[in-house]
Amino acid sequence: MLRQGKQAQLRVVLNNLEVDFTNDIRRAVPLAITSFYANAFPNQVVIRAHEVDSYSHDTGYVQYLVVSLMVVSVMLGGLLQAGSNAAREYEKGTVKELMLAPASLWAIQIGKILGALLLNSLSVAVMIIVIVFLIGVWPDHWDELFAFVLLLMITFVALGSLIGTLVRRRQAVIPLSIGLSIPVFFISGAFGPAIWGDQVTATITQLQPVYYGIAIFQHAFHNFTTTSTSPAINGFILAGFAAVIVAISALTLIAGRGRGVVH
Amino acid sequence: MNSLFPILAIVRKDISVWLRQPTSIAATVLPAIAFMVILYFGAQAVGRNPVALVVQDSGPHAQELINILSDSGAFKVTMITIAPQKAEDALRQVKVAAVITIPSNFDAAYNAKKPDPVTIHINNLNLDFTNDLRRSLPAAITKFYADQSAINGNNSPIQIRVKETDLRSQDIDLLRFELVPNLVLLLTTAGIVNAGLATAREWEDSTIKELLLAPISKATIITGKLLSGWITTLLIAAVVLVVGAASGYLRPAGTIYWISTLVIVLLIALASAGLGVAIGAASHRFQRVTAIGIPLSIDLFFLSGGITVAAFLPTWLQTIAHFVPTFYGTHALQMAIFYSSNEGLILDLSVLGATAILAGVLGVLSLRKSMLA
Repeated sequence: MLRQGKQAQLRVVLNNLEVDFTNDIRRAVPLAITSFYANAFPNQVVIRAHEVDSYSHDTGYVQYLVVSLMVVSVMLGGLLQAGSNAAREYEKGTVKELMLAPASLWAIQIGKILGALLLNSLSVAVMIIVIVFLIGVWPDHWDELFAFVLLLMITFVALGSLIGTLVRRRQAVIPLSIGLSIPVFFISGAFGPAIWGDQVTATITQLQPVYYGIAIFQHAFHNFTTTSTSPAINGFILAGFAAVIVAISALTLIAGRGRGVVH
Repeated sequence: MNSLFPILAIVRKDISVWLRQPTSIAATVLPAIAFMVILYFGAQAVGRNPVALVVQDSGPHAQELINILSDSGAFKVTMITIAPQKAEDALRQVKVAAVITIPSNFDAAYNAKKPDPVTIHINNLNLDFTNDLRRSLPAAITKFYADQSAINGNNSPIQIRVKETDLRSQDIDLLRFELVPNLVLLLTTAGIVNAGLATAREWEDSTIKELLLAPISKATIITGKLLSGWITTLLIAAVVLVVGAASGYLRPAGTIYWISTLVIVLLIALASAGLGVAIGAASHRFQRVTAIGIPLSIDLFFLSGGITVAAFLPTWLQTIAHFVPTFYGTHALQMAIFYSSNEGLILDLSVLGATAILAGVLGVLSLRKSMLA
């Protein structure tokens, strides 16, 4: 038909469950048609798409997403572990013993953060083993991975400790940690650079550490740049978050020394 | 009738304890609201990658292609420039996902029927974005030729026409589609965690002794615990459904679909609460409840199509998903809310009903065993 110059109709029946998948098909059909014409009638369809890629190889969706998931797992693990430990001191009344101990409150809070850090490091180690050896996502920069995973753990363990000190109940710490982690995961560029999304979310997300954590880990694993700021700047910002959160966490314990026990 | 008052007293006590902790309520309800807000903003941008256009030809055909690319649902043209370096800088600084260059001889090559490449430089970070961009430029080129056909009669070189037939009456955008598995995630998390914690608390605070010494039957205590977990979960579901319906994102069309939506939510909440009571009674500890309950809820979320359409998962994963009760809950809610359809409703309701009964029985047995021990 086509050789005779007649029109051919291509019937496409779409299970249009949701628009993302549906549009993939809608765009894939013209791609197939133009590719077909490029081969069969090269002199008729002269406009072609000539693709140049920024990176030498494509990265699969799962390989990309798993790195973002790792960051949110470090966050959730840190919040839950440190938050529960801190809240438990109030629930059991053992916070009184800590306050009366002949040690500074800074030392107590840093000791609690280090304890939670050690416990959290076990789950993080398992997660890295799974990502690297089971899923097969090999880091391009091992040094960045180890340096920043530690920094990220300190940040979120300190944040968990802060939440636990403030709410003083494990029952509140747990939903708060989950409630905080899941939305933050979605707005921090888990699926692609956050700044490609809408401007409001892109601006808000730059005020919290997961955004920089995901960017740094995408660089450590895939050598990707996903933010306007460089990996070095992201590292400094993350270190700043860690220092500020550790300080606030310790100051909160000091400020709340008279609050006593939860009944 | 004699058991009714003690049951209501247990329900009242559990809900009062829950309500006396504003942080717990806020922490349970706020994620749903936060999700709605985030998804609302996110929906504005999904699937439309920012691109820069480098236009080096001012001819009419080049202008026509620019108009098509600017109007494309696949692109969000955030920069049009004649300076290639400016666009490449934006690409390097991750301000745009791709740079499309229309060369200076575009019109001349087109008129002379010589090869006329339009270059697309893609930041191929991941296949999802990259493939969207890869497909979008040829789609625009096809549209360009189709428009030529409309202008010049049937003279377009592309003579293949696509006739699309959709199985559903409307397209649902990705983030709206994902609201349903998120709702199911909230129901399972709230049910398992709240009911589990309310049950485990009796052991942690040693109040189980008072309950056991009270002049009421064990069946009364068990029923009270299940009912309080169920009601707490439904309170959270009610907030999500009201906000969803008010915003239009989760609004079933018609009474019949409202009824099926509510029945499905009731069943998921009951199954989650039953499971929560079972875990709480078996573990006796807050931390064990959360350690088991939260990963379980998240696993169920992913397996029931949490971040994708379950029907398009790999076959082996689909097989596993068919053994996951929340898969049926998600499917039934999506059919009722988005498509006004009863497709597979009997199967979905049967599986959810059986799961609710099984989880309830599990909760009863676990609580009974712990009370006897």
